[in-house]
Amino acid sequence: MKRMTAFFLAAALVVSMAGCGGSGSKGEVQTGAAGEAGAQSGKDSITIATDVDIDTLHPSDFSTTIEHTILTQLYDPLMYMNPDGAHEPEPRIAESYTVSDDGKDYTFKLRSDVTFHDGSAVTADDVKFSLELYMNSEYQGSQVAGLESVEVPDASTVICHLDNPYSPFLLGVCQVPIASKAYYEKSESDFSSQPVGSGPYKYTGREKGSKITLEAYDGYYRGEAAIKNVTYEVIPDQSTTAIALKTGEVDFAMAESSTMAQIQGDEALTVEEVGTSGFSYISMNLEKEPFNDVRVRQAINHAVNRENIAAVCYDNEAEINSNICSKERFGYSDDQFQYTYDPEKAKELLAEAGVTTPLNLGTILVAEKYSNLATVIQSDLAAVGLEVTIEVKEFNAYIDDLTSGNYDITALEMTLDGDTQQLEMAFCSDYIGTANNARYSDPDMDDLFAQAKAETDTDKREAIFDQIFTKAQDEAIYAVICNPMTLYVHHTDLDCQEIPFEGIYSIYNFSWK
Amino acid sequence: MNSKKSRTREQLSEFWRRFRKNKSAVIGLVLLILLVGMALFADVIVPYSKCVEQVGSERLQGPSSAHIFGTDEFGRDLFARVVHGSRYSLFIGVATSLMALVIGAVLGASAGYFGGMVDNIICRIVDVFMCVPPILLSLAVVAALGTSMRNLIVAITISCIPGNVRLIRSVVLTVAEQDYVDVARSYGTSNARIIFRYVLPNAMGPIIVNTTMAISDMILSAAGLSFIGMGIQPPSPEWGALLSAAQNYIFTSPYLLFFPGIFILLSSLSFNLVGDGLTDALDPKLKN
Repeated sequence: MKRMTAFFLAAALVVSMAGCGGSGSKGEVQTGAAGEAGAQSGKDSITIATDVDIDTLHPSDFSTTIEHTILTQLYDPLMYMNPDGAHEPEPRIAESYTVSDDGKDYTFKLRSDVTFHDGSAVTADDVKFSLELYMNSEYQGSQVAGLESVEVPDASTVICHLDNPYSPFLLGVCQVPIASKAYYEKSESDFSSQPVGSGPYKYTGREKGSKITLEAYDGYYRGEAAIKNVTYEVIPDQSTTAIALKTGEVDFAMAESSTMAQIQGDEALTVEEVGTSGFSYISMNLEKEPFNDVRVRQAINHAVNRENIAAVCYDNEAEINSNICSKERFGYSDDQFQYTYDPEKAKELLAEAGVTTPLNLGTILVAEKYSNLATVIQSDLAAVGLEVTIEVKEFNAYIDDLTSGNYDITALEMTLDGDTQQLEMAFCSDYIGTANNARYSDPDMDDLFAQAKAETDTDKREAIFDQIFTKAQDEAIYAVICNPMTLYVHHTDLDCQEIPFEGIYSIYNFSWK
Repeated sequence: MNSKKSRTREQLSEFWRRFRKNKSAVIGLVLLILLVGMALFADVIVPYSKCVEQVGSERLQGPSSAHIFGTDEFGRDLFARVVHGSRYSLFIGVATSLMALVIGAVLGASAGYFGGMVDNIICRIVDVFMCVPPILLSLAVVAALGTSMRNLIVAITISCIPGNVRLIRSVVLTVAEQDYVDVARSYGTSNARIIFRYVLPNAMGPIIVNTTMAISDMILSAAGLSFIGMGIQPPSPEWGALLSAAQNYIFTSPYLLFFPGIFILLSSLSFNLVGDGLTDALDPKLKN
């Protein structure tokens, strides 16, 4: 019954929105009305397209970008830190923080005027609860790596005790949304399906597979948001999204590079390129022949034409980089080896490795969305005498095979955002079966990442990462191709400020001109 | 024996005379022969290597003398892909229709001829399958078996069987009541012999027509499944897969959709026209 009322409320809102916009026809309540209203000034709602629906809005047990994005609107963290790690943290629920001299205790002073969407005050107990939720989360636990315990000396102070000094902790802790302990204890299922957050927007309803609606929270401590109503509309198809943007049905969307030709040239639309640490790459199963031979992996690295892949699969909206560490990221250096397109070198390396070409490498297993990557890679590999057959699988079935090592070679994109330390998931033996898709296992590498984690001195840490990426490049553990840009398209009238690195935006910063 | 042979020949020429009278059916037949010829002689028209060869510098070029259908997003020649795509599309269409026909004929004829319990069991099973829309049924089968050409064929065949069983059962029901069947039965002829020697041949008209028409549906189903990425694996150039790949370029390079689309249309149309012609030619009521 509760769900029903929420739905009617949402429907009523849409009707009143259409009224505000001054577009006469009330019969056409749906998206068309919002689009027409876009032409009017004084608009205070936006429609955002998403290619996939959400599965959960649990603040710690989510796994997709869209869930992360919506949670960012619903919940506020202790402090906000731009994910590029280069900016000072801004106060949010905590107004200040201090770090103890030994680097093991982080003390946060909380604001007193922060309330959850149900009106109850955000207390230090809620913060402790939220941090502990993250500590115990299979999904997001790595964000608070090193956190040993949380102490609450008084109602407005929270102290985080770390087992060892770990400088990226602050960036990680800034990702933790602060959720209500009382609400969680009342109903765990409502907690993940009908969240009551601490952020600028409150959740008002959802039609499964179709839309999610948010409304500005009038009691928000930084002042009510300029955009009052937000509708996330699920549009799985990219071309349809592009058309919806052009007709004004949708105001803001993440777009794929293949639709840029449709969008560019339309003056009503603006494209924002946002850098990310995500990378597209070829992963080879090191447990299988011939990928256990470093020369074969180097040959594959030299065989792929990265410029061509960036052009074909990303319409050049990508930065060529054979290094798993993106160029903006801490620890990257131009001295680390870059693989370039050199088919002759590849053939030499294969000959050195004693490979007789043509050699059948087996199957290149990909998810549907990466079949373009596989098609180009197949042709590049064929040019140096390596043959693969493409097998396309449904995404979740693909991920199962990928993580269980049931594949020969594959191509995909991955994001291990946060501190550079997060890249340990691609290399350390502990992560075989999750993100270490190459199934690479080397005690030296495990040890280097352990050192990087414990090191507090920035320069020394950088030197350790330099060793790590030099090693990763020399051994050609993966064949990284490029860092694709995230593209956001929005109406030129919509002021989006600057969308931060990694592309997790805050609608609170948006406004209509 | 001799008289029987000459009677068959007479029937055939009579059938051909009536088929010929139908202009659109003849056009369909000519189209069909051209398409099948294209599929059979694809390698002679343009080598297969042309349709997988990627030329990075010639991406998304419109039709020109070098590439008469233009090039796709990988710089592959679209003409080569369409020509070789006909092999996959036509093969899937014909193979699935024939398989569905054989299975449908056995089940449908049994149901119609024996009636009673056999009829009940077969029809109820078919009813269950009929509840699920064909495309969903194929999707479920492909999802369960995994995507490959073989599984695609199995999936489409399964989705086509229920309709065939229904149709063949209804035709057989009317034929089975004819006097000559009763006579055959009274002579002690075995059931299998009656079904395959007397009942099915006399029910053949509607079945042939239905199968011909079904091929065009099957081509469309295969294209549909490939379009949503559940059909042929890249880089094989099936027509539906070509359309699917082209959808992102619908505004900038519409020819990518146009050419494979035209060929799907033509093949589907030709089978339909021929099917229509067959209906008229095989209908004994029009005999004159």
